[in-house]
Amino acid sequence: MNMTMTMKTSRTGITLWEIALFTVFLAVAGGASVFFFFLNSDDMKRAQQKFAWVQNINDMLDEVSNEIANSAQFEHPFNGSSRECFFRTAADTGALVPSVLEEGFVFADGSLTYVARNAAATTGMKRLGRFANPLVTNCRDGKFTRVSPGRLEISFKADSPDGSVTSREFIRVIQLRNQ
Amino acid sequence: MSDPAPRSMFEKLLYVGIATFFLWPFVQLWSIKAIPVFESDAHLRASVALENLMEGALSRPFERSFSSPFEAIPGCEDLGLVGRVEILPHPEFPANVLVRTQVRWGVFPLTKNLSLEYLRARTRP
Repeated sequence: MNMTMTMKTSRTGITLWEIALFTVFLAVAGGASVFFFFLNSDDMKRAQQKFAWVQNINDMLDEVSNEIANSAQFEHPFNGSSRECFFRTAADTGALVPSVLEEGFVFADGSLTYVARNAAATTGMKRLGRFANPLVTNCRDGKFTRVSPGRLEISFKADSPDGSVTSREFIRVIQLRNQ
Repeated sequence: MSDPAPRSMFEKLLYVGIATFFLWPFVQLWSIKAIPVFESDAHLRASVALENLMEGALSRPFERSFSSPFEAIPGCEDLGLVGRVEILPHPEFPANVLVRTQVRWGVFPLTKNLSLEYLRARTRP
């Protein structure tokens, strides 16, 4: 009796839940292949380029914020807003460099530039960290606003190089740590 | 027709393994609560807003305790971004305060939040 029961429960056929599992896997594989085609598409490449552009500007703004936040003395704008900002930096020894030597950032000709000025002239620097001058191109309405004695706000609108994004606004708030 | 035989434990484990292999990437996407190619821009904007909130909080006069409710962040209304600032005494170092900013966006099951903490002393070093 026991023997016949064992014989009867031999494995034959395919069960319902196996069919369901197979269908799920098929759906996942089909969905994945469609998704990978989509990842390769031009739309996705454009979106990635746009994101890379935005991220590059934000990385650059990180550097600029770092430079301004750690300036030894922030000179201009003292209040209100301006298209340029100037500050005195500390030398590597910790001493303050003479007040005629200042560094700054300027919005001019649709770009943001890192400059140095002395009593005679204002000259463009070569680069800020890994970012070559001009730091941003195709930007408008750029200004530095001294919101409060210890706080500066940088804001500007920029267009992406391929023209797919227009008037993307970038705003940074900086605490002037040494004021 | 014969009635189906019960599968052995080994076979069941095999099925679970195969299913895990297929579904694991989706589990990972769920765990980071974002699909990178679609939502990285929102994350970037939120992180910048978070930093701006922190810098604004740090430039306030020194306070030992302060807590604001979640408020909409200007410029990020399309994202529904809300942020808050908390200032609380540090649990271990009584001379210092902990400044914590948080931003939050998204609807309930997919709510995302980022937070940033900063240790602040009353006197400068």
